[in-house]
Amino acid sequence: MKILEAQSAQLTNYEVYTHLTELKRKSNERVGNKVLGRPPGNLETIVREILDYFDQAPNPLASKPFPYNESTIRNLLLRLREFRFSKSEIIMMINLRPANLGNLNTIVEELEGRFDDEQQEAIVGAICEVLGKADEEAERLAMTNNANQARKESMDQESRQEPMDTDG
Amino acid sequence: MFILTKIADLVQIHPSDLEKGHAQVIEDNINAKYANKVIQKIGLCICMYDLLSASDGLIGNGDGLVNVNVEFRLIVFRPFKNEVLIGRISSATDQGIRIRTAFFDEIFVPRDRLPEGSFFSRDEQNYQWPVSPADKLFYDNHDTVRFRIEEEHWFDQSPLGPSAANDLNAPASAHSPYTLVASMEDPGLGPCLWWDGEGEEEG
Repeated sequence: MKILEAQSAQLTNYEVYTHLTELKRKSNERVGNKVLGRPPGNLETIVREILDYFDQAPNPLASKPFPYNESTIRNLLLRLREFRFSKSEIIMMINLRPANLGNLNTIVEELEGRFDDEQQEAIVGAICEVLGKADEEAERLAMTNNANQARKESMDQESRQEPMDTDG
Repeated sequence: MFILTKIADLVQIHPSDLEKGHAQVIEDNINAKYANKVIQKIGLCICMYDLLSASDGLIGNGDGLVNVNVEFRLIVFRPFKNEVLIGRISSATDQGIRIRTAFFDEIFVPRDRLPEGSFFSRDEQNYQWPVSPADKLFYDNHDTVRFRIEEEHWFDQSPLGPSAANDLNAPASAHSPYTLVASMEDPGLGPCLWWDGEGEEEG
């Protein structure tokens, strides 16, 4: 193994998502095909886990209607060109879809120093227009449900473990 | 969050796999070797992105393996410094908060990178942030949180030589090969439920 280039490009979550869903579609086609067999197990694990991660609120990839398509990134770059964001800031905007100034502030360094109030509103507006707006209520509900479900599962696990301990 | 890394490697194709077709076998072999594994100073490998080139297959003496030199790009999980990510709190100790995502567990927020004044509650086993004397905010387990990547740590897990391995006092390596240190002290970071509602009030 020889590393030729440690970082030849940065990808947005959407690009990874499209690649992995395509990969998953192909591996589903292999089911029942004796010649091809199953894809490697470690690959199936990581692909499933990452797609799970993308599918959890408040990730924009989990929201409906699906906010991305082939021209989304291009459109967003055109809309935000005048603000001269760095590449990493743009990538975070595409990945996280900040819907209010508080969230934008975490992503953009020195937001208040670089832009006046009007510009800040314009940035949030542009992101909102290109990527759509999240159904906040549904997202909050989904997040609370996810957390509650996870808590319940871990409680179940604990209670299941106790009788096993007495057996052992 | 994700990057592409260009790698050159030797793929050995077993004769029984030749039926699958070259492109597919090479992809499977690369994925079997790299997927879900950490390369030091590179990151957590996810899968092959594309195959850039492959040499002719050469068969060596003694076995039927087809040796192909390939160049390919891998999708790798390697968040950059100051990147904001989403994850979930998995546990809290008086050292700090552990965060996990569905595919990566080793994210740690030390207590001094939480908002000033927040403290660890031994009774409830979580962190609490008193925003006003009467009002506290909680970092509950399994809450979805935003955090900012601050540092990355690498631990090379290559096997020790016999002299080091015989030293019984040497601590067993319990480190993960790749861990991240994050912060949640800036406004906007921490449980998403605290911040995402604000837009409604302002608008």
